[in-house]
Amino acid sequence: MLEIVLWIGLGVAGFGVIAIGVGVYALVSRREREYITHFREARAHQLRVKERLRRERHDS
Amino acid sequence: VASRLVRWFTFTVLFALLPLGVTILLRKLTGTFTIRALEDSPEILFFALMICATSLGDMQALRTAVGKDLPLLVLWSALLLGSVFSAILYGSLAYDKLVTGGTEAFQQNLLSVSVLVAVIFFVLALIVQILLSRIEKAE
Repeated sequence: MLEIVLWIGLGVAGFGVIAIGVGVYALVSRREREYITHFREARAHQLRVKERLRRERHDS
Repeated sequence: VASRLVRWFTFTVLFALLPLGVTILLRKLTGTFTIRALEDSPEILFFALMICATSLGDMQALRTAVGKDLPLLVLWSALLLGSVFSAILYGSLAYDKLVTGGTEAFQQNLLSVSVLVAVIFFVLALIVQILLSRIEKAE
């Protein structure tokens, strides 16, 4: 039964190799530029929400 | 880029390797170091588990900001699977010791799989850290 665990372990290692390929693709295609845009949008949204909450508190 | 990698290497990789290093050192000092002794110890699995778990934590903010993205999902899933499976392999080592007192053939195979998993997930975590450090730098 324990041998099955080892075979699954090899499968997981195989998936890890695929993920390495995907990671290398993400690095080579400079995908982080897209992620940075998302990050900035998320931060801007957060700031807008904070500002709205601050204004609401101030008004009440 | 370098500062994040240096920090990751120091506080994650070196600290994760510490139990394995101490075990090997003590075995060498006591003159009991053999491959069999290494097969009987789960430290390599702790290394893989810690490497995967740390990178998962580091990726969390990125995943929240980006949302649905296939490459990120694959990286995230692989790291999650790696951390869970390292724990399962450790469980199987403990189970083997408890039930049969430690089967030599199983432990030999387990060591090979553990080293393979540790090396692959170390490379994967390194790629994730490079990606994160590039984002940090650009911000």
